[in-house]
Amino acid sequence: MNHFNFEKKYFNYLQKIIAISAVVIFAVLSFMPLFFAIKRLQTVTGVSVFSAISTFFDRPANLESLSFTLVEASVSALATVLIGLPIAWHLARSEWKHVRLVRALLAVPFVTPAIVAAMGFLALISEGGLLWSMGIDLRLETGIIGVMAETFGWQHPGHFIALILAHAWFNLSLVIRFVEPPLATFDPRWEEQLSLLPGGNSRINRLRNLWIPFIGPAILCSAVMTFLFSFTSFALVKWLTPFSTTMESSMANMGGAAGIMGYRVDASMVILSTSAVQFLILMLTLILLTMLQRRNNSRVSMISENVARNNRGKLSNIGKITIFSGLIFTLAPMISILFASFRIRTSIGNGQFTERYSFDAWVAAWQGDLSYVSASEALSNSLIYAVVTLLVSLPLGWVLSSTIHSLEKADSMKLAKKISAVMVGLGILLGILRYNSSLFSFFLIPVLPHIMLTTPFVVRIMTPAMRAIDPVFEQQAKLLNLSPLRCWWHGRLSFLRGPAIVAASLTLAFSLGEFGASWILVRTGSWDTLSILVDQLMSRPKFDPMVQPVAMATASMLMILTFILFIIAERFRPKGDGGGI
Amino acid sequence: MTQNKENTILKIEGLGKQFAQKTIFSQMDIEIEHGEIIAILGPSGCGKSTLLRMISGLETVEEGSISIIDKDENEIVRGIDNVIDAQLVGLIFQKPVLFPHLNVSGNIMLGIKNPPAKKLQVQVAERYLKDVGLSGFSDNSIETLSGGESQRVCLIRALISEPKILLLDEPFSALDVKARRKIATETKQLLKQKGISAIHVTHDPEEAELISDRVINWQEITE
Repeated sequence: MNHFNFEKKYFNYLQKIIAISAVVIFAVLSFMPLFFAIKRLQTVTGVSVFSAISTFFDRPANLESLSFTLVEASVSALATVLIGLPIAWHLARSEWKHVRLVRALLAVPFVTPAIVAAMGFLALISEGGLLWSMGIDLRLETGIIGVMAETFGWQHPGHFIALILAHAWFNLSLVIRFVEPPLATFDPRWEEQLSLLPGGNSRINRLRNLWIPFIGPAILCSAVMTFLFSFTSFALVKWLTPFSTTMESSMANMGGAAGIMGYRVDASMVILSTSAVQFLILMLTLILLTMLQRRNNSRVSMISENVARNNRGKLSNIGKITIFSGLIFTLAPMISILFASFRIRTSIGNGQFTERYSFDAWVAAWQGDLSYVSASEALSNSLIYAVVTLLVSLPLGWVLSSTIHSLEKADSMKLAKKISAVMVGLGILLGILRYNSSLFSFFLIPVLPHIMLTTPFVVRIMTPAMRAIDPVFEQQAKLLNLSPLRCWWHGRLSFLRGPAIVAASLTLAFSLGEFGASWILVRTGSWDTLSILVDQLMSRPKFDPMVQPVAMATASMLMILTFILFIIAERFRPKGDGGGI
Repeated sequence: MTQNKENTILKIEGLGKQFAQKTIFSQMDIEIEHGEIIAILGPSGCGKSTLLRMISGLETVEEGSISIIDKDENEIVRGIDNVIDAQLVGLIFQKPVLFPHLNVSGNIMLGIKNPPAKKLQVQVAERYLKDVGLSGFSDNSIETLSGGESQRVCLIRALISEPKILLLDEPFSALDVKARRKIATETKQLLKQKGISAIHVTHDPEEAELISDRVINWQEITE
């Protein structure tokens, strides 16, 4: 018995030491580079971060990027809700066999690397792409888009529409994952009860007294999250709206010249002021999101999803059309990339082209015929980074989740839900590499932002899973006099295996596809990842007809890899889990 | 169709229901008069709740007929195209259905066709709550209510809309015996006071006797 008590005490101490170490490591990893980056920028510019905020508004280019960012993020949020809401509604409110499969397919865009999404939409809107073939020319802005530009004096509407569609595509699953679960598990008696009362005897009354209070917060949550992701979007903005800059892209463009004493002080000034303003906007949005999520969580009337579905009958024809359209919208950019990777268009003069289909671009990509680094090398770099990221992020996120769960302070991690990849990359560049340039050649440097970006995702997946464990299993294990390790094994670990696999797959997928921070840190190095290679290839002049197909083939490799990881994640996702993206 | 009795408010003739080709009940006949409270006594799973759902319009009528005679002596016959109208039928579910985004007075306002302005709602709700012994509850969150209190709020909310018939689907079954007796007696008094007809379905003979003017055994009305 004494031996058992000693073991228990020792185990408790060990748990506390691990928890404190994880919190310290994550805090240091997250805040130290940013702290030193701000310090460096303040030294270079001679201006405090607070004064920088006021100078932000003195530069017209800053105001332009601010207004463009706010407009594109707001319109993206609205468009995403408008497209996603009917899909979520029909997906939730009927009985049908393949709901899990469709739900999974609709969620694929969210884990698709942003650079792949950008290539997908470029393939869709470029000459020979699906939209172009349908007479909608968003890229060169001829036809109806050109008329629109002329009539309204709107510059580059095609590019703007393409960006909004891409953001809606990317964030569609947010609307579905927020709105569908409460609708699918919604107790039909509530609807029935209201229909028997004067307060629910008309559609407007039911909308006001039932649907808006119940799914309104979920819709707003998804809209605010879409706003956040669109606000900090980088790869899509870089490739789809090359004539406009967001705050994120203007910081990324100036990043290379910033933080150097006596050189391009204006670049340092732009980064310091823009990052401060962007940080404030993100903070305010995150506070709003936290408030909305609290309201959302208190508005759910749950019954078994199967029971609710059985009560609602088969999918209507309108429902079938809506969901089928949603699937086409989801799959079109991905199929377009694959298609474009096999199609080689050669100019024969006078704007005429010949087309042939072959595996040449895949072979050229794999051998590196058009780039410094071959796709095979980039793939191994990406995999090394992803595995190292996983080895740090998963245990770190696990311990952080466990600490949060035991302290019941889940809200403390809300800020980490969405971090700007560019800001993280700049933080490391300016906060570490400018102080010690020898670290530029350290090949694991890109792992650092990957850990900072993926650990919050691990926490988001593991914390609810830990909360869901019934403590009775651990208590029972203790009463059976099992050792602390066996209590933990049987009472906790056995329930967390599935969520841990989900977290691991998504960590690998996010690390493989990460673009913003990697672009800042490794764009000129020899440690190029697949996503950086896609960007480099696509940036080359297109005189060589192989350039675009090779870029598309590289993007396809990345897409297939992430897709496999996503399938693994979906396979192990607990049934009925609508969240935890 | 047979001739209605002068005082008939609800007439069910030859009613049947099938789910997935399984007959739940068939050839059901019931007639209820204005202001009458009947209790239908039957075992669990026999189709009592389905019957109430058919009367309220939540389930379609495919076999037989349900006729409700409204204030102006118009006969409304339930069919495939059900018209749900709170002026005709009110229903209280077994488990209280109160909306958690609204407090007690907010829930009560759902029963009023033209609810008063926000600042007057508490005052109006209090007036109704007095009838069910819940004075001072209008500002309460619904999570603070006990099972009995919740059902009382549901009851008064249903009565405010002055339905022709109130349907009670074993609403007191989750309460203890003492509370059940008390609320059943109070409900009967309220219904009589307001002259509202009611059908109460239950599997408890004592509750059936307490609340109703007439007890009907399930076997008596179906084949």
